[in-house]
Amino acid sequence: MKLINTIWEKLGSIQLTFYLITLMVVDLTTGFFFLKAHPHLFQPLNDTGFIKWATTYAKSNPYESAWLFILIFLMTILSVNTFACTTQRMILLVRHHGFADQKIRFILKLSPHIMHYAMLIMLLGYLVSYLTSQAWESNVLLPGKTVRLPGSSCQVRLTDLAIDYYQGKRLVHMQDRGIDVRAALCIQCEKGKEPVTGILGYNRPIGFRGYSLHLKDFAPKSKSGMAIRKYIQFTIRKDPGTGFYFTGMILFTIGLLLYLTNWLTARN
Amino acid sequence: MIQNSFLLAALFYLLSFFATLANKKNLTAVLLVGGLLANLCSVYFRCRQAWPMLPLYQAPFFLPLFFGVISVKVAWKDHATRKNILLILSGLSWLAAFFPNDHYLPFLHFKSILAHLFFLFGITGRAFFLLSGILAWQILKQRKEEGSEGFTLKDVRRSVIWGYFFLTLSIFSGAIWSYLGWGLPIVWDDPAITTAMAAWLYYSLYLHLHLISFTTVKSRPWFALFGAVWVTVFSWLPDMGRFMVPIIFIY
Repeated sequence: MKLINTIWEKLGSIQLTFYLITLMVVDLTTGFFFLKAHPHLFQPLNDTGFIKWATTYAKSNPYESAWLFILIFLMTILSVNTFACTTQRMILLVRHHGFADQKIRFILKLSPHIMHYAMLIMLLGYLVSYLTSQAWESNVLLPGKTVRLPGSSCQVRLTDLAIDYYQGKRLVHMQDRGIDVRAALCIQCEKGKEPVTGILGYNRPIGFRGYSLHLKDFAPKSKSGMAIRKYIQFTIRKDPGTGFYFTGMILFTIGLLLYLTNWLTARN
Repeated sequence: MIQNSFLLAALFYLLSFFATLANKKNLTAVLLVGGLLANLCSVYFRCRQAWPMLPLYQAPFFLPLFFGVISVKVAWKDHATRKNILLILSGLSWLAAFFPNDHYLPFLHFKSILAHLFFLFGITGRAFFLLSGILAWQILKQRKEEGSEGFTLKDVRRSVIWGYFFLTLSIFSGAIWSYLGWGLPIVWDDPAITTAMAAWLYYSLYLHLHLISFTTVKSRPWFALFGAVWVTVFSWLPDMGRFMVPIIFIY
């Protein structure tokens, strides 16, 4: 029992945090140079899962990609360290203050711990995302045509494609070029059932049963020039980590705002 | 107009630095306000040229404005700090004028409020970190001149906390934008992702320094100073282009 307590205390050591973060900063700085020098090596991480990338691109370029593996290793230890450290302090805080008295003060004092747990949830989200997410790139749809959602019986149909072309004079490089794209999609899984509809655009994905559809390209881009058939190109993704990292971000922001409030009120 | 208004701002900043060297406080104030206004014009024209999209590689032109605005109150507290702030402000703006990288055109993914928030929060965060570095430098100098009263570690911490707040908001805006635009938690096309993460971790550590027994109070200003230099070099320099003489000096 004593040994377990010692290990638990050592794992939550703030000194360990110091060394880990220092090493991570050095590692990320090294990563900056590798990412700048070899963008082609890391870009596929956007499309393939981490394991696929690690067994192909990283395996053939171990020297250039080593910093990313070191970062993941350090981040794993930092996660354990953060969990142990913040849990130890939370236990102390609850023991010494209790919930009954000075509720607001107590909640404000919880702020760093909220941020720490939120960071862990975010990291868990990234881990789930890079290990389990799937992407199907370059799906092309013409008006009236359908594409099947991978791994399901659902069909995605492009019902309408509206493109607004820039007609002003202010944006010189956008003259007569598409500035707003709205692709009306209809997703049907079973015949006879009400289909799901949505508008797909840049920075405006459509979410459906764990899938998300993201617009990648469209045509015709320009109002003038050669006549090109209307189409959209989009990416289908299935990322179970999304919920985790967005929950983590919301929690972290709440914690940060509480921390700021605590700091500002303590200062005054 | 975009280039000239920025050059005018850089000239005003330089003159305000010389005015502060000559101990002309009112003239410094007038020139600094002139510089900030000219910088604001330049920033307005840059945004107008790309709106509703985010103009690319503009950080070096926005940073002097944001840094100047948030530093005004601090600069007026003490002559030596004012001198340092104006020197940095002037240096940043002249470097931006001679090493521009603002000729890239934005594309449709950059038409998002989140892209703008990502950029603006990021610049604000960097400006606060830069200010924390200057304040830390002042504290280190004060220690040599014993008995002098000036800035304290609380001032540095305040600046770091605000910087950290804005950097966090910037990273989160960027992450949401990345998801909405590409469906990815991180877009691995930009090396700046690593420096943003490193800066965030570094300042997370700074906020924990008081809990770490082997880091003394004396070491904290050094930590803040190093952070400011690091953030400036790794977050700001990649946005700069090759050496280019502004057109006004050619014709």
